[in-house]
Amino acid sequence: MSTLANLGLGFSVALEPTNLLFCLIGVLVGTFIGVLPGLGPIAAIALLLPLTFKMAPATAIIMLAGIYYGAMYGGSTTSILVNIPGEAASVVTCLDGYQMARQGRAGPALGIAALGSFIAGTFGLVGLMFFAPVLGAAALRFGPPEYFTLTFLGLTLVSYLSRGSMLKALLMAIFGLLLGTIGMDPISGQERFTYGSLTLGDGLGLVPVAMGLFGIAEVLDNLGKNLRGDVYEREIKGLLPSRKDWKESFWPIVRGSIVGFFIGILPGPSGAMSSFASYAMEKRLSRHREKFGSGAIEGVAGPESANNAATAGAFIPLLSLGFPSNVVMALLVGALLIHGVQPGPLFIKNYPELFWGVVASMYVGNVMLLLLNLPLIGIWVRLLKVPYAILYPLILFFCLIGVYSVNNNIVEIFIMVISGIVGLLLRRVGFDGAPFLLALVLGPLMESSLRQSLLISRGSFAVFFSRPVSAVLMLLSLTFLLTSLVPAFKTKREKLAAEMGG
Amino acid sequence: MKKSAAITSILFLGIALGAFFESMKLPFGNVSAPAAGFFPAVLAALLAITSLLAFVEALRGGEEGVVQRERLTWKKIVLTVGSLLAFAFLFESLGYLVTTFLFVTFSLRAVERQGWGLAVAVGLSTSFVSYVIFGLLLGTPLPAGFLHI
Repeated sequence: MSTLANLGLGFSVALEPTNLLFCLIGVLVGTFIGVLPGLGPIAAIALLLPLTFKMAPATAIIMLAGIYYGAMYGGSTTSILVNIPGEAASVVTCLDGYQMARQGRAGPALGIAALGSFIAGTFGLVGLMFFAPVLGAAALRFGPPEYFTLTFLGLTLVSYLSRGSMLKALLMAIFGLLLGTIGMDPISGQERFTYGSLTLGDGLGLVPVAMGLFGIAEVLDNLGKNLRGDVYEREIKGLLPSRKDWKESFWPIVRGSIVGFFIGILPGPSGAMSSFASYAMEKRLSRHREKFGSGAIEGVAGPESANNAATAGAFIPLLSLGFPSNVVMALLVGALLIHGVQPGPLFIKNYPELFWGVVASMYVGNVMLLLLNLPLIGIWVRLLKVPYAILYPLILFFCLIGVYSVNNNIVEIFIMVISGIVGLLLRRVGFDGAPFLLALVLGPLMESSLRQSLLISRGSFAVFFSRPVSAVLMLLSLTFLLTSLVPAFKTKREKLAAEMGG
Repeated sequence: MKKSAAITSILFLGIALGAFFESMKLPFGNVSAPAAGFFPAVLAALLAITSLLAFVEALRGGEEGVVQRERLTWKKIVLTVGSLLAFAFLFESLGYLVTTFLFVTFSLRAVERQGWGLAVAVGLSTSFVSYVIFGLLLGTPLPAGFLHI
């Protein structure tokens, strides 16, 4: 009953005209940015972040969350129509979605992606509604050892799943943690490795590094290649899937929603992980496995549902633990802190209108996306027909303005460009940027929780194994680390990671 | 490509050693009361170990992860990086409108060899439309530069 009352409160916040307007802006900008290759939700959030300083906290988070799940919708459109994933989570959608488009079934592919995302998004929200308070209550008993093992698990997972050698992935994660120590020591306040730079005093900025490593490096890598592929030329008709499509997609959507949601809760790259897990599962369960890769609708429905459910799932550690599982979530933490709101175990209790308002706005946003996106697909297609030679200067320009607008600091543009060059070179010698970036996000939390744990335990590492939650998380991480060394598991991991890398 | 992975590992080893010496200048504390230098020093040591292992892996021909791709056109990349850096240097002195126009026009004309007409048209419209959206509608603080707009 109280959940209903809370939801009522949530909708009263979400349906306020200002919040409705900014929810709409968020999902529209998100979809737009999701469609453009090389520009992800990070760039969009960076661009709109300064705008949120003057807003009420609920409005700010409603808009920023809208960008995030809107981008997930947009990413699937490019995967299906041009075989270019708009963002990492929609890499698998290319496999069958693009094939469907080539067979003249772009309409149903786009339709099922949107409807599946809607259903899964709604499912994820119901999950969020019930799980976040439960986890929030449990999190009150979380101490530094639990937070430390949580960050440890996140980094192990992202290294485990990154393409190529796990050793290189771990190296990148450690390097990320090391660069994460630049700036003020979280406990004593002492400056480290800043060498007098004011910009570095606050630490190496997430936004410039993330946009450099992924945005700029991506564009530089694509320069000179003929990226456009074939935009699906014929008129797209029949967006509504047929009865047969529905029948084939129903269980993939249900399974994708459940799997995606629970993967979303895990720390780490949940969006991409969930869509790959769902694709692998559908392929395994299917009675006509050979159809996968040549236009099976299940291969679109499952993963697209999974990544939207994961988006909702990822809000759980954010809102109930204050734990960001990716850069976008870290930016949301930043946006909350600017308004003096501390995400964490007491968040739901202290700011019910904020928590329930954001949850309700996601329902509203999902409806908006469904209603808007089907008719807007024509516009996105036209956008994709713009040659890459004209598009990429604009993408770079958005990155430049986005980074500058966060702190009005030119130095951060330099940090972005340098990260872009370094990212390009590292990616070409097989060092993956994803573990590095997550390490940079989690570094400060990992350090302070490690040092506090050691203070509590007087220097004994047994503290991570003597408390139940932390012991389970620790054992999980160690299992991943150790099995990657065993030859039989090693090939399995490499296969999995290779699939994830596309 | 094997050579490049080995060279990269050695570079990482250098970074690790440098970071280790630098973090030794910070108070280390001890394991039961770690201070500011503790975490960076431990990480630098771990980075040194992993980069040595990666070096060995590269020598032994552990080629996983090095994806053979088509050659990059480095000329375009260098020009683009140059224009990004130029944008950063000029942004505050020339101001938003002029720098944006120059950046977009240069990318289209010099890097992509599009016609002058198209380059100038896209450059002009990008700077004005984005100025209206970011500067006027969203209130993003943008440098005015010598034009004072």
